[in-house]
Amino acid sequence: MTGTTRVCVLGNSHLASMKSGWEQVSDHTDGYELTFFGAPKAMMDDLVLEGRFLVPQTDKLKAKLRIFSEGSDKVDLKRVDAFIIVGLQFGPRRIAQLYRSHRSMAFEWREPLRELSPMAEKDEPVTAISERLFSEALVAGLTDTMAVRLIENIQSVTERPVYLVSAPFFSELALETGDWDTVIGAGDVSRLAQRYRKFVRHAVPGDVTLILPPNRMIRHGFFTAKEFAVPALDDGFQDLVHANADYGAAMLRTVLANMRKAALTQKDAQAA
Amino acid sequence: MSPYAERPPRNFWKTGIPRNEIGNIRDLYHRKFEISASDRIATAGSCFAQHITARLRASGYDVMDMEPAPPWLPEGVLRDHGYGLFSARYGNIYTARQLLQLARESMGEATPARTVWDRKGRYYDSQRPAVDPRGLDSREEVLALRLEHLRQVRRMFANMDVFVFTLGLTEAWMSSDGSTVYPTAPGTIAGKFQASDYVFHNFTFDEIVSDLEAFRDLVGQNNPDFRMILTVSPVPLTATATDDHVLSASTYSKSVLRAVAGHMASMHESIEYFPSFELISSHVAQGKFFNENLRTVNTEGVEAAMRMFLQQHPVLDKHRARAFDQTERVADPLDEETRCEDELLEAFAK
Repeated sequence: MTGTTRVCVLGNSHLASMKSGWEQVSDHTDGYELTFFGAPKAMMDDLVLEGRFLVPQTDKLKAKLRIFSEGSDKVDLKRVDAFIIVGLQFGPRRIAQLYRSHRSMAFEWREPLRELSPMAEKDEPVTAISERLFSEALVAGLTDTMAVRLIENIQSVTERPVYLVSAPFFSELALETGDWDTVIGAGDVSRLAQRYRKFVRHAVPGDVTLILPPNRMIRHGFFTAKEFAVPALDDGFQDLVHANADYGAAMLRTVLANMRKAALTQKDAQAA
Repeated sequence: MSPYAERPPRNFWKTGIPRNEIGNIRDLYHRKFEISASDRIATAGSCFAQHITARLRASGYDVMDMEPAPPWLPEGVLRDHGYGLFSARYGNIYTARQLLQLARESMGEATPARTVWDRKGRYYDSQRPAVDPRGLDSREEVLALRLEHLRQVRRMFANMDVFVFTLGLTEAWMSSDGSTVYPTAPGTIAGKFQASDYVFHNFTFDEIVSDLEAFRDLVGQNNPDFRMILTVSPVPLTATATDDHVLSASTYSKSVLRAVAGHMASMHESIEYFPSFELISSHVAQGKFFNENLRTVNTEGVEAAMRMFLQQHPVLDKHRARAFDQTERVADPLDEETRCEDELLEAFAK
């Protein structure tokens, strides 16, 4: 890579914090040109591979891509030097979903956790499974994501580096509701955090660099510190799932540092 | 006038067994009771019962699932771990004694001997060794998961409206004191066979009737209105531990089970016998419902049996049901893939 490195950033709603973060980072970062392609929820599943291009299959997605990228609605994979994949279902929400319905015997809390599923019936049972199956289901859940499918498409066309930025942990503000007290008290949050850290890498496709938030941005190993959380809206709505621009900036700095390091390593290898 | 003169056509071979209509013997099965849309059905039994479970679900019946599968894992992996095969993850229950033992254990009235088997550093639940095919990490994990499993089984027995049980075998291996029966011979999947620890037993008619009566009484204590549909697996024995030829042993076993099922149905209004056994395995079917090994039942056989069932118990929820009629075959997720621990015995054939 010489001159400007063209970076394509693809994601869902978590892309917002990255794009806002880029505004903080870009002034101090020469040599990188970032283009963002994003759409909320599962819309990015309609971005399919056609030859060397990622092409939206719906007008709705096309419109969203244009807004985010400021004009483009398809990605020419051969004209990108590096990819950053953000969220797209790949993140700690998967282990929370699993914990809601299935727990290994290592977990102490046996009762349903309705706050992870407000629509669930009160008596929705939790099913016990083996530790091994718990970890296998977690890896399968992380693998069965838009992020991994998108990466597989990218890697089928180009060998350019791919960085996967996991979706953020739940906001620390979730703890203020008291809903998590029982789970934290039982020690299950640290068990969730430990298992997520241990197994998340098993779901990452080969040659992809996984970027997780550093410990200083995390509370209890499983929550995004409140200084990186999205503040409550005027109507009181509290977004507990997304992170703010500072978070996005921090994650981008980490990704770019990794990119620089990889470029230097490559340069050294070529010199040798 | 002859006492046969007033009998309906189904009572006569000539009219009861129409030629060229194999698999569609009219009036072979008359239901004893209805199954309503709100009835919760629980299923258990030998591997043939897995087909029944799958087809009842596909037909829109409310088949209970007390231990739902974790998300995201492939279907094959889930089936290997006993998910979705029956209403709980107990694996195949081949004998009436095993069923009674499970009910007693779930209600705290019995504890099996040698609950944990080991093999190559992995640990298995001896009462359902196939549901964790790679074993578990520790003895403690086996015991803890068994307790949770029993809790779900207890809930199932307490809340089911209809219990469909397929009688599979009369032959079984027991602890040497006779207190515990096992679904597989020790040493087949896990555990180690030692003649001093285990004995072979071939259950008799009286023993099986007694076990089913005891099961009915026990479950009835908490669930007095539950009804039972008994079937007999048409799948012959994979191997026998008796001195008889496997065909003779199989004939004995199935004859006893068929007789038990008929007896139980004749004794109780709340128990009916569903005759899939004779539909599939009698000479009337000319062997057409078996796969090439002449042992396992093919898709046509399962369809014929379930068609007979659904003629008496029509599909209740058309939104939930997949099409099921003579012309449209339902893809059976279990085709050739039932999980049958006893088939592992084939490995010992010389």
